[in-house]
Amino acid sequence: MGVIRVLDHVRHCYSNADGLVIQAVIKQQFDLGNKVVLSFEGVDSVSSSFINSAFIELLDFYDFEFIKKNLGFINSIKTINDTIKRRFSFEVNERNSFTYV
Amino acid sequence: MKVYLPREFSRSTMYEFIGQVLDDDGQPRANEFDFDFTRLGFIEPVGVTVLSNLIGRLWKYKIPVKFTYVQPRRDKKFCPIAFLDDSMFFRQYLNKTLDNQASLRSTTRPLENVTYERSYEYLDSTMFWLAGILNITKISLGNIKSCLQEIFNNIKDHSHENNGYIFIQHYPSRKRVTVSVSDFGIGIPRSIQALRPTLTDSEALRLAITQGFSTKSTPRNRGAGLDTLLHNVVIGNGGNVYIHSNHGILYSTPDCYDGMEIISMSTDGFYPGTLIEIEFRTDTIEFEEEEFSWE
Repeated sequence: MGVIRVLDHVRHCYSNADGLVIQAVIKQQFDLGNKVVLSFEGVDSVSSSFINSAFIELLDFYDFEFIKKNLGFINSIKTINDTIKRRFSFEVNERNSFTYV
Repeated sequence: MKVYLPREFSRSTMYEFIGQVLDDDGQPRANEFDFDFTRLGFIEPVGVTVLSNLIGRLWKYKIPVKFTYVQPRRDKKFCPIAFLDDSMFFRQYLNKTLDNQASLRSTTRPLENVTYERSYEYLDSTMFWLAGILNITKISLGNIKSCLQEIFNNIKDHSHENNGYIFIQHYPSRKRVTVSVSDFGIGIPRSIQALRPTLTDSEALRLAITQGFSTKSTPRNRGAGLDTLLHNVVIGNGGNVYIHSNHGILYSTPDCYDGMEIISMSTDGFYPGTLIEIEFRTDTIEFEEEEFSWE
């Protein structure tokens, strides 16, 4: 299991496009049977757009239990961790029962 | 057409001013304007942003705008013309400051019209500036930076525009930083009412901040941006968020249970696009490295 440094692949964690680059890196490793540890070394902020494309869209290909077992993060800060977990919590637990007003 | 700036230019008084310039479809009401500053007694940061966005909108329609003003009274403690001049407002629109004493104040990040393409670099340099005046590390401002990223992503995804006017003011004695960002796109309610035509503007704003709701203006949109913004500002920082868009107003403040209170209302006044004002606390900023756990 190797560590993948996010900033080796994108300049910043800002847009959907940035997220898609990281998603592709993760999926490549998953498809090879590898676990992934992502390092946020040097990253001071991530947007929800980035999180959606990098991580949430993985739910289209893998179930949440698989993602939890095979994806981890290091060199992170509370704000980033909270946003990642909050997004996953909604998409896994609430999205299907979400009704519009 | 002469239009006087209000005596106090704030979120409350901006509607009447805008309404004299633009109709409810955002179209100019005249072929040329004279913005008269002579009655202006005080202008909040949001006023600077709104005024600039308005001028930008008129220029987009090739409508000339001239200014009527008095020279800055630098002997007075609070002179709005001096504040505007020091904020480089007149340099932006007249290509010169009003007097040779104009200088950027250490507590002000000057008004800028920021395109999405330039927004990351702008936010990065702004955090560098803010870290300097707060005497903290740049990485400590990650939460604030991510909040502003949400706003620019929102403009790109939803407003049909690609830029926002942004102005930032630090209030050291109040331990606050106020950020005002405005675009004159179609507005959040109008965007939502294309899908939900029976909603009022106030109801549409409520829906917009609900996690999971999306107009799918872009295919990857999951309705997380405004929810994340409010969560990170109000719960993460203890700050306040004010959103004005079309006939709707929404504001969110901390409640006494470490959650957030959200109030939305409709107004007779009309804001042609979206104005977001965020009041960050500077006394709650902290850098927290944290080991990630799925629990």
